[in-house]
Amino acid sequence: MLKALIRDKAGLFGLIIVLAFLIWSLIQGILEILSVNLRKPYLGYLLLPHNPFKYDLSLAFHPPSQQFLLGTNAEGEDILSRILYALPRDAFVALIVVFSAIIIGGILGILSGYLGGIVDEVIMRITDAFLSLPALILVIAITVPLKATFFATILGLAVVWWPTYARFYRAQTLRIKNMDYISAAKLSEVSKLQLFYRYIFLNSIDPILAYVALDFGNVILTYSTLAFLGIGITPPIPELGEMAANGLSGLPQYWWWAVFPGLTILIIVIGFVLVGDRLQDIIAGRITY
Amino acid sequence: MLLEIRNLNVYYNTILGWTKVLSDINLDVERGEIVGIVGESGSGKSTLGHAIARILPPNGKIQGDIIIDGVNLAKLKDSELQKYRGTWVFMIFQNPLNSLNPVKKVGFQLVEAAKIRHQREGKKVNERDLINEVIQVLKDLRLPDPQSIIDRYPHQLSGGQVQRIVIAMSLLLKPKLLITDEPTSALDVTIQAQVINLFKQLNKELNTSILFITHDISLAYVIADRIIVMYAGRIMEDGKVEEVLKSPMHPYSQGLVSSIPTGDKNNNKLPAILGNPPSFFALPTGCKFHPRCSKVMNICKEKEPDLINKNGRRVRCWLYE
Amino acid sequence: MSINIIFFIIRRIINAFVTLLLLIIIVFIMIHVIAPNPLALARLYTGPHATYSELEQVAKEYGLDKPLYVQIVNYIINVLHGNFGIDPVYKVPVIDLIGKYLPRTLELVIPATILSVIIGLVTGAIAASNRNNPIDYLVRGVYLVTWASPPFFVATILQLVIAYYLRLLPPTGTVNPTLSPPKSITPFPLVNAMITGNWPYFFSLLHHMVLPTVAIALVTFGIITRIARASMLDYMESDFARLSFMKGLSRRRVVYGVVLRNASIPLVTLIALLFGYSVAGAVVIEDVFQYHGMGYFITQAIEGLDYTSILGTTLIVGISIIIANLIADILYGILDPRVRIIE
Repeated sequence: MLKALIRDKAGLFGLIIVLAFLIWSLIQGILEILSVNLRKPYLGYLLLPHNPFKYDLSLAFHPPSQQFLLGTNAEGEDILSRILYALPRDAFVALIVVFSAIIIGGILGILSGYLGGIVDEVIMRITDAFLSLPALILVIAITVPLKATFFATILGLAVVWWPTYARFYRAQTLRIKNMDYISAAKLSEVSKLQLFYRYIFLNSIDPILAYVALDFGNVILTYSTLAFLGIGITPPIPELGEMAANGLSGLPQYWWWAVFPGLTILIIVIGFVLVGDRLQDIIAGRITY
Repeated sequence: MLLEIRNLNVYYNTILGWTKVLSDINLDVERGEIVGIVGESGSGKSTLGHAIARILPPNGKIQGDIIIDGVNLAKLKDSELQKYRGTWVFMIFQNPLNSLNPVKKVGFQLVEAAKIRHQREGKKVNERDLINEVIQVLKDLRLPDPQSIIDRYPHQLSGGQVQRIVIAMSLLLKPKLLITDEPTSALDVTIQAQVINLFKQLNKELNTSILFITHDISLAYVIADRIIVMYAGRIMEDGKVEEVLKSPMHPYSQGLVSSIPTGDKNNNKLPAILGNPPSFFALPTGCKFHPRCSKVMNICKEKEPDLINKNGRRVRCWLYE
Repeated sequence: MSINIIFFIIRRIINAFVTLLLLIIIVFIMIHVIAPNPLALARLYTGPHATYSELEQVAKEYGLDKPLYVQIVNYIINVLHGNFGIDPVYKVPVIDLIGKYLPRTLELVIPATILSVIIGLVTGAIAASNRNNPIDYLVRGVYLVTWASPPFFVATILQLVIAYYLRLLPPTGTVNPTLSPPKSITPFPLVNAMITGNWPYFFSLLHHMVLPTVAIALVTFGIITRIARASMLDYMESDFARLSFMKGLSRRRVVYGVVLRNASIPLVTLIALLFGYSVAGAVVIEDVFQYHGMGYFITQAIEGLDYTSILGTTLIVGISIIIANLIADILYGILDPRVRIIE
């Protein structure tokens, strides 16, 4: 499948973006964690062109130049460095939220499909209720009373993200439930847990892979929008959405502060969408129901 | 001569490149003639119908001449062709239930067809006259209660009724040439007979030429004046329907004719033609039918025979050259 | 109007009501998980800066110390009466504030949704009829970019280019502050201005509405385009499309009249989804343009950690989306004659 992904130009381009994003986030993320735990702040900006927290009002609002590739903000901090410093957080949030959504959604969906009856009805009603609201609004409703911290935001996103996966796994369960190899497995006394995990859960990964790729992008979009609104940020640590919000005060003369963080998100999400689209084409050609 | 096809070749652009699916088709159809085009699936008969109607999918290409009443349709661009579609050439598809627009009333769609006819003739029309004309046609086709049928949606009618509506459309458009692609295979046998009669009626009333494409040779016998047998995108035999069925010349035609069930209790086995039609990606050398032919000779494997005139028919077989 | 359609609508309304009830209960549960005791609950209503005695008072007032089953019933009754509590900052009922800001946002979101559907259908049709041509790729490129952009980015770029660079429209604000507003006959300022003939105000409002509405439409149309294109490609190969073409109708007539007409039906179900996305986008986009609608209201509430307002807003948004769903369902029944009979 990987080969097929690479063969298409758009898919390849997307894959490069995604990998660059994830690898950078991994490296920089580790450095940031180390810099906090070992109390050696310089580790946090070892790989960055400038110290993202360096306050120097004399350098404020510099346009993009050779020294500051994307310009500086109101406090003279280099925007490129701040963006690079903020990226690991987005990757982290995306990964955690999507994976917990898959697990929670998977459990609920499989239970719902397998048991049927009242359980199914209740779970599906709840799913519908969640799906009837845009994620952004629900997350705001959850995080605000929790003081809108970073942790609250991740929690809020995870709580809101699972319904689509629940629906998907329920559909898969219903489909597979009636297939022969489940009856065969039941006869040979495979434990229920094994049944769920190996036959249903693992077999469903193929069709949902494309959607998962797209979903990473969706989480990042929602997360950055929350950051824009001031939810989930922990100053002075930069967040892409927050930078875009602050940058509004510099419009129109100092546009780079508001524009570049948003542009970064755009590029990353395009990467995920291209990969997801390509995966979808590949999978659509392969699956025979 | 209504329809003259000269040196028609049709290609499809597939994953494996351009593939030729119709070869060297030369064909004449007179005004008012009903020609049956017969062959197995994959013989190219459907493609021929689509090519003449100029309704091939976007990956299809035509080479050659398709001349109707002096106009060479093969050389026209899509936009220029549009004024010939419907009133010069019309095509009916296999499954009637899918042939009508599901969200518009049947009457609306029929009036549309009538309007197109009148506009092409340069006449001005009003709604009332068109509706009356539609109702008259429906009455002619013996559809019950035409007044209420025109207010119905396609999904409210049965398959037979819908096919009759489509034929009504043909009566309103009055095309010179009607191409029908397996028009009865999706219908009950009882309805089949009625639909065949309606086609005959259309042919008699309007002198419309009909190209009747089917895999069922006995059906072609019932309706056609002339029959053309196709195989692997080529014409194998072309002659008057009684003659071809009584004494088929090409071995393939012989196979098709002898596989018609005769209801003879003593003869239990239906002779079948062994083998399958070839894929267009891997056609045999020489005569395309030779791997399945019971009368194959050495020359058949090497050179492809031409379509020659013999005994008032055309046949493509080394047996007759 | 046959009896079938009426039953159809009634069933849909009941469905909607049940979902709404469920929504209220879920929100209620969430609140109680977050704030398990009466005083914590009280703080949600008063905001973070209340004193102990204030909290006690509020707890008494709202019956926050009563057992859960009583509370939930009270809560539901309150919500259904529109009583979402008092905003701690402005000291007025939340419902009043919502009543002031919501119509302004609706004046953005409703045109934006309609615009989005139109753009989506047309671009989807263009892309489908030019399959794999450069035009197709161009269309897909455009919706890819707008879909992948965070809404604040689209808004910012629009603001920069159109308002600041080209100076075609005002960059921020709801209306020219020097103008005097018309009497509030209806909740909708635009309608009021029109009714009272206050044209300067009317046009000023319109001027300030264009960019936010376009921004919302740009952010959301992508999903319609994508599905419209796929749906149209399917229908273009259908027998009835080909027959219509064979009849002699022009290519344009077949694509837009027949194929689009059929292909757009399944898209109606997306309208409610689109409406939801539009509302979510509006929150942020209003902020960029400093348009004083619900987005502004929510942003303020977040800053002040004003939970009462957030809660009220969430429920109102939920209700609007449920209504949008209802309208979409009914519209589907009107557009597709096959559905009416079966129900």
